[in-house]
Amino acid sequence: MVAAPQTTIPDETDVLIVGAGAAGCVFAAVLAQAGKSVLVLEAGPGWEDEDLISSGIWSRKLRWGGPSTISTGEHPAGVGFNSGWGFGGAALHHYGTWPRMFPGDFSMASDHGKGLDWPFSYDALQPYYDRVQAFVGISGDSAAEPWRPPEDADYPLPPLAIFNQARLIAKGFEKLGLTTAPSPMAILSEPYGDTGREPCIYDGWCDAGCPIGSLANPLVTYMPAAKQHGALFQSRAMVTHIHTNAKGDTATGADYVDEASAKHQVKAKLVILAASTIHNPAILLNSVSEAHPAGLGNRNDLVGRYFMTHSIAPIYGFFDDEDAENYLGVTGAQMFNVSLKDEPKDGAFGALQWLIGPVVKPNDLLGVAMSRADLFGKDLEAFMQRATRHMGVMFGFGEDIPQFDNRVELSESLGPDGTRLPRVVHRFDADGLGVNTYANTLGLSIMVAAGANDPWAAPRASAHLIGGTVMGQAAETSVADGYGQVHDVQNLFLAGPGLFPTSGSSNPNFTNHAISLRAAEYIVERWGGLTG
Amino acid sequence: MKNRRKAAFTRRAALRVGSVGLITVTVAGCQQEMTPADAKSAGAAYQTLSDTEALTLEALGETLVPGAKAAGIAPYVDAGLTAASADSLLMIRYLDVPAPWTGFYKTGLAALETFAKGQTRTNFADLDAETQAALVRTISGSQPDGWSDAGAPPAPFFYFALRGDAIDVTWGTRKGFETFDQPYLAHIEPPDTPW
Repeated sequence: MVAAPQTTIPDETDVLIVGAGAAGCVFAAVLAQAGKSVLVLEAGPGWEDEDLISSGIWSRKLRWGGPSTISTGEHPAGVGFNSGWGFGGAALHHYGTWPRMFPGDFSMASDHGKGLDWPFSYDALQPYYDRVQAFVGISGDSAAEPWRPPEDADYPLPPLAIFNQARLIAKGFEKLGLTTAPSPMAILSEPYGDTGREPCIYDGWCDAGCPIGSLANPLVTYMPAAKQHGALFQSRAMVTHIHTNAKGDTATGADYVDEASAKHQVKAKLVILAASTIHNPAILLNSVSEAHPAGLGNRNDLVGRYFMTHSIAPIYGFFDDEDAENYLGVTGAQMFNVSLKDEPKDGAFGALQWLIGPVVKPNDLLGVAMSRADLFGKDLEAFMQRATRHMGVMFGFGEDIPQFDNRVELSESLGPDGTRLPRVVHRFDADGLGVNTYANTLGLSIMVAAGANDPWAAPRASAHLIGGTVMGQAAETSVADGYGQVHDVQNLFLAGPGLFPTSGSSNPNFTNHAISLRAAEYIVERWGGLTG
Repeated sequence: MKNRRKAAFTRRAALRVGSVGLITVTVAGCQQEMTPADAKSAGAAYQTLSDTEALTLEALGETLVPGAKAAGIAPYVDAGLTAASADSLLMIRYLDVPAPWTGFYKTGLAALETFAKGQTRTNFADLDAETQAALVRTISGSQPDGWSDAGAPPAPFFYFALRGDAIDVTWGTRKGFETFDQPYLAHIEPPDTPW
C-alpha cells in the first residue's frame, strides 16, 4: 500500500479529480497526456497489486471504509458490497463483466414513455466503446451474440475458457430456444500487447482483486497511463466541499481532509467529481453557498434523484452426476444471455441479462453457503458437501426504471469537516419487481431444462449503483449535460455511472469508461473555453 | 497511450504476506499477533466482547456452523469489532449497518440470551445442542415473541450476520476449503487464517 502522504500535495492544479476509481483514472490519463497538471484526491488507501490477497474475507478491505452511508427505503440498495475504497475504487474488486449497453437503453422515454432519455444516442458512444476495448482488452465472441449491433468492433481477444458449470446450464437455455454466448470480459484470455499483464488463470478470485493484472482494474489500465504522463495520485484525502466564485458559475477548487483530519484547500482550473454514485451527489449537496443555497448544481432539486440499482434473481441447481467445476473460472460470468427491454416478460417492462456460471467459493456474500441462508448446523454441512462440487449458479440482472423519488440525500449524521453523510432511498417499481419475478420463474425453468436437480431461487439481491446525477439535454430535467458538465457551472464535470439516465441490465463499467473517455477528450478540445 | 506495468507477479506467485491479517490479542498481559484459532487455544483476553458475550457467541457460532468455536469465532469477531471500521473484515461491512458495529453484536447477543432464558430459563451457552438449534431455528425466519426490541437488530438479520461470520471463520480459509476438497488456488497466499 502506498503510504500517505506520498508526495507534497500541490495547492494549485490545472485539473482536480475527486476519486481514483475507474472514471477518475480515465480522465487523469487523457488530461495528463494532454499536458495538463492533474491531481487526483482519493478518500481511501493507496492500494497496490501486493495488497490484493486471495481471500473473500480479506477483500472486504477494498469496500468503502469511510463514514457510513445509510441505505434505506422499501428495497434498500446494497451500498456496502458495491462500493469501492481506495485506488481503483469499486473497479478494483469488480468482476470484469463488460457488456455494452444497447441502443434502446439510450431512448427509453422516447420509445416507451417510461423513464428518461440519454442526451446522445448509442451511435455517439460506439467509437468510444471500441477504443476502450482496444486499450483494455476484452475477451469474447462477437459472432455468438445476436443482440450485438453489427457495427461494433469485434472483441480483440478470444473468449475465456468455459468450464462444466456454464456448459451444463447453457443446455437449459438451448432447450428453451434461448441463446447463450461467452460473456464479454475485461479479462485477458491471452497475452495482450505490451501491457505486461498476464492471461487469466481461472482461479476465481476476481473480487479480491487481480494481482496479475489479467482483470482490467484501474491499477493496471488507466492509472499507469496517467502516472506515465505526470498525474499525481494522493490517497487518504477526502474531498468534502467544492468551491465556486461568488457568482457561482465557476468552480475554483475544493476542501479536503487528510488522514489526520487536517483540513486543506486546493485551487483548480477545472474540477471533475468522480467520487462514486453515492459521494458525487453528497459532495454537491454539501457544497452549499450563497450562489447555490440548495447545493451545487441543485437549482432544480435534481441532485441525488433517479438513483438506480439492478435487481438480481439468484438461481441455483444441482448437477449431482457431474463435477460442476464451480471453483474454476471467473467471478463474473462464463456465459451470458440478453433479453432487451421490449421483449415480453409477463407484462413487466425492462431488460434482463443472465450471467451464467460464476465461480462460487464456500464463503462470502455470493458464496455457496449463502445460497441457502435458511440452513445451519448439520443441514448446512450436508448441503455444502453436495453443493461445493455439484452446484450450478446463474444470476438474472434486471433493469431498474429511473424514478424521481429514488435518491441519494443527506442524512442528519455528521461526517468530516461538518458535512452531512449520505442516505440512499430506494424501491423498485412494478416493472422492476415484475422483471425480477419473471427472471425467477424463467431461471427455474432453465435449470429444470438443463437437468438440474432441486433448483431453487434465493431472495432478490441488488447490484451496481447507478444514477443520482443524471445527464440530459436541459437543466430542468438533469444535473449535467452529455459530457457530465454541470449545467450551472462551466468547469465542473461529473463522472461515473451516476450520470446514467437509465440502467439497462448491463454491468455499468464498460459504459462508465466509454462516457469518461468521450468527456475527457471533449474537455481537452474545449479547454480554453471551459477554463477561460 | 501505452500501458506498462511492472512484472511484480508471475501467474501463480504464491506470496506469503507475513503478519498481514493476524489479530492482535493480549495473553498474560502481553500483546501478541496470532490467528483466531490460536487465540482461542491460548485463552487470549477479549478486547471488546465480555467473557459472557464470548461464551454466547461461541455457542451460537457452533450451532450455526459446526467447528466455528474451535476455529475461533469469538476472537475473530472481537478483533473485527476492536479494529477501526475501515480495517474490519466482518461481513457486516457488506450489510449496510452503520459503523461502529459493537452495539449490533452486543445487543444482539443480549437479545439472544434474554430470548433463551425466556424460553428455557437457561443461558443459551448452557443449553444442549438440540435446544440451541431449536431456538436458532425460531429466530432465523422471523422476529419471535420475546426477542428484545430495545435496540437489538431484528432476529433474522442478526442470525444472517452471525451465520456469515461463522461460515467465514470456519470455511473461508484454506483449511476450510479443504473440508470440501475445494482447491484454494491463491494468487497471493493469505496467512493460515486470513485476518
